Amino acid sequence: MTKDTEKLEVMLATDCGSTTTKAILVVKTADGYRLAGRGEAPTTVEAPFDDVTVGVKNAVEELEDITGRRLLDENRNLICPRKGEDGVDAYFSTSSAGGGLQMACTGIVGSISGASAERAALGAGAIVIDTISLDDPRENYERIERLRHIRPDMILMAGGTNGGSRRHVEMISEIIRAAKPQPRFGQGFNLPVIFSGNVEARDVVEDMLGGVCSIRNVNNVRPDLNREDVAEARQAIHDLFLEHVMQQAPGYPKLMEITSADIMPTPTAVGIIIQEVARERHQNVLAVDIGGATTDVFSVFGGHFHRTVSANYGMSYSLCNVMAESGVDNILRWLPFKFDVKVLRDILRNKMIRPTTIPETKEELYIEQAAAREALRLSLIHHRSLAVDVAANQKDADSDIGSALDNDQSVLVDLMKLDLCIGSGGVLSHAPDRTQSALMMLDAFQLEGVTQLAVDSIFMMPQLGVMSQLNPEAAKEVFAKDCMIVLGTAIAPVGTAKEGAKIMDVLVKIDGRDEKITIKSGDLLRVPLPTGKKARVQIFPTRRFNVGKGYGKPMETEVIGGVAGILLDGRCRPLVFDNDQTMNAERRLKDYHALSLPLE
Amino acid sequence: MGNAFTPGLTISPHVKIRKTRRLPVKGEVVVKLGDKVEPETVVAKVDLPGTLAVVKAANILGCGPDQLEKFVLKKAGDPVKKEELLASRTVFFNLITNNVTSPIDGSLEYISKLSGNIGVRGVPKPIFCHAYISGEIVEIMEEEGVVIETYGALVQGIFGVGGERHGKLLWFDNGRSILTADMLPENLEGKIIMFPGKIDGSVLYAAEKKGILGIVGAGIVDSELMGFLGFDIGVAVTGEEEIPFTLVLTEGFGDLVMPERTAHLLRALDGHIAAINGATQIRAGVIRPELIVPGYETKEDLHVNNSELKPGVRVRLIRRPHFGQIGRVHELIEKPIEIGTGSKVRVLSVDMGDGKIITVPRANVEILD
Repeated sequence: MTKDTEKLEVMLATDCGSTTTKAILVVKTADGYRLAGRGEAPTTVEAPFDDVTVGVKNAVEELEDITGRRLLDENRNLICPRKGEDGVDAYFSTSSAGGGLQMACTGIVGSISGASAERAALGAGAIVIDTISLDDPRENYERIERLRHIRPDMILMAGGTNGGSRRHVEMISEIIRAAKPQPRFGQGFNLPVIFSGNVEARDVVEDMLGGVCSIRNVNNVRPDLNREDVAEARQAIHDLFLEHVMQQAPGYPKLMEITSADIMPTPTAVGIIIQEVARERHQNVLAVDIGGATTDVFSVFGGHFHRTVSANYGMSYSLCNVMAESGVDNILRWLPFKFDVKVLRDILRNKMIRPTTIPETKEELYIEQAAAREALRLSLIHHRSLAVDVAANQKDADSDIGSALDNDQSVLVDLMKLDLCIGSGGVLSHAPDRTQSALMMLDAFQLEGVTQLAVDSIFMMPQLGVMSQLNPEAAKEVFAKDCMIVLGTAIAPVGTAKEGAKIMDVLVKIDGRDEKITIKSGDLLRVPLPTGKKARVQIFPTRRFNVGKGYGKPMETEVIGGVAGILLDGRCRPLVFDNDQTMNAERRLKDYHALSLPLE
Repeated sequence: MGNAFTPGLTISPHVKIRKTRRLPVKGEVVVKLGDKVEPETVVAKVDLPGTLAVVKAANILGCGPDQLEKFVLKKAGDPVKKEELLASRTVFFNLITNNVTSPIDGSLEYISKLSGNIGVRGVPKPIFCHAYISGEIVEIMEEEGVVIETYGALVQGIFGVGGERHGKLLWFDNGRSILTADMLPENLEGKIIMFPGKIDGSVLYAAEKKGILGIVGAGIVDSELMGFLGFDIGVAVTGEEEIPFTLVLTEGFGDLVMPERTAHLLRALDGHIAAINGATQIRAGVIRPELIVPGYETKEDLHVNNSELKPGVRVRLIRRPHFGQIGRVHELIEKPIEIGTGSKVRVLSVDMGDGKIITVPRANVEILD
């Protein structure tokens, strides 16, 4: 720690999410750096405020109420640097207030370059609001009007095989130039355009759009008619979203003026923490931060770090997109009771339009948690599609279109090798019963083998991530003491069997006592093991099940306890669902009973 | 979280409204600064060149490109009709005549001695930019468009579908909380109907048949709206649905009624000409659907002292099990308490007006006045 950081004894950090702004106060005590309190308030990026700093100050006010420390002066300005007991030594912030990613794609021929651009954008987690091509049935003025209306966050521009048409690329550029779509957050920010067409037409695009848009050139998504190469375009979309769209919001320049260090995109900050955890523990880690507009997934496997931002899966602004993409039946299947599909849809829509509301009944809580499972499931699929081996990516680029689309090789995220799964975000960190968080992750990710489960206690990993840049010691201490809560350990063998058939025996040794448990297909059982306590377990899967050492191979390991204890999951992989809602509800009800989660 | 939800919607009987109207491509602004305009007034226009049809004339005539000109019956710039003769050549002892006709209406643009082709340019397509609202031109953007300003009533909804339209407002209030198709009278063509409760899905189909241009209601069942649209709206970016009317919801989805303030204003607007637009974008940089009545004036003071949660303030409960109910803040309870889900949150008590006082999370109320 440097001399300067030694002086940082009272630190405020906020995370401006799309829906909620969270503030934490970290104070140096005799026990080292500790969390002194947390406040939150709705993010204020909509009228009548249109200023993210209003929400920041509201959250800080709540923090003042909770901690009894004065942080704002009489004009509601942050007191920084500290004046005696009032104020803070430093203020940091992360932001994902800009929300999801909505894109427009362009191509010369809709079914060729337009389709490749669409696939690249969808693969990067964007919503494609429209694809404009020279062969679509619209007139140019209609295309221009459409581009203006939809206000895309960025445009992926494809078209022309390498060495092919320049004139057509120019025609598409003319449309974009004429439309000059205004970014959502107003002036001082040029709309990002990723050009992924004919590499020999880059000068044409620069000539037409330079100064009007912010252009980034990447590999041609359709270098020739029979090949597709979307990897670089996807990466560019992802990076530009993270750097230029997600963290932007009305009032962002004002926020920049009051922070002690650069504002960091929320996923970047969380990624710093996750990498540190994996490095310290020498573990494979999967972490998720589920927000209102986006869900960020992080993985470290074999030392390789990957981060994806699923720009349109979330629990408020993006909730109906989760419903549209997963299908409402896939949300219903997670409920431990039957529910009217029409009412469910209305509940989710109303959450989308009033994003800061919270469930008041168990029924509504479980509905949100059911939707969260689908958001998490879809986000993991997205993450696995992008977190692939680089060499395989190249192979992917060189393969023909058909096999490129079907390709799933060299995925790095192998759940059987996962050691630790960490959940963060409102729905996971604020679940009234932390066992609910454990079950959400177990269900949504369909964890395999032996996996330790944890949550971010109060949803503060982003703030600690940005704080670690100036005061790593404080971030590390607070993370260890106040942030990460171990929920327990899940043991989930992979395989399928008829319901009721034996799938494994487990011998649990706690405090010198042995307990033998037989798990049958469809069972979910909790063995209580207090937080921090360790136990030896011997697992004997039947020949059609694998718990990490191979099918039918026994395994012995040490597990750690938590509020959820040891979860023995015999529900097969993949999980079994029925077309009948009643049957699914009965299965889920059995799970809830097994974990003592009440319905009322 | 200790703060109430603030949707930030404008519900005002008299407010300054400015609208930017732009052509998609550069053209001509046809109004002047200070001009008064109506919704149908064309403020800017452009003639888009028609498509170019290329006819391989020399090939058809069986002559060389350099000979083409002597067989062409028109000259560059001449108007031509579809199927009209452009060139003709008689061959084989005057027994066979090869004719070249125009594939489209338009004008002859060129006769090429190099390629032997004739180019016919289609009829220019005029594009008009209408005012959308009545008001005064306060800014001219050369060759692009104008800014129109007016004072009048503005009601922003929370969600909508369908684009810009204008028509005469018609208020329905039959004392019931739901509007169904069988309650609609005849002669609604060109009207914008307003109802203070839930719009039944049947009304959407009836609106299509009756030529209704707009519907303003408190709520609708989501599955009925999506069923009518024929697709599911994922991310809320709307306004370009291909439907023959515009729908603006002031409250949301399900069985909902408008707060009296909104209903009162809409009732007062009955009979006026309004502009309506369902375009919605729910994300940072939000866009809300709107109903505008330019020129509306009232002496009533409907000003709202918004957004401070305190005893006596009227609130609507925006989560089940009390979704849509309206009451007054009774007490702001300081300490977080445990609610039905098991979470400990900051709450307030609400006097429901029927002798009942209930406790709800502060995050689940919306301030109405």
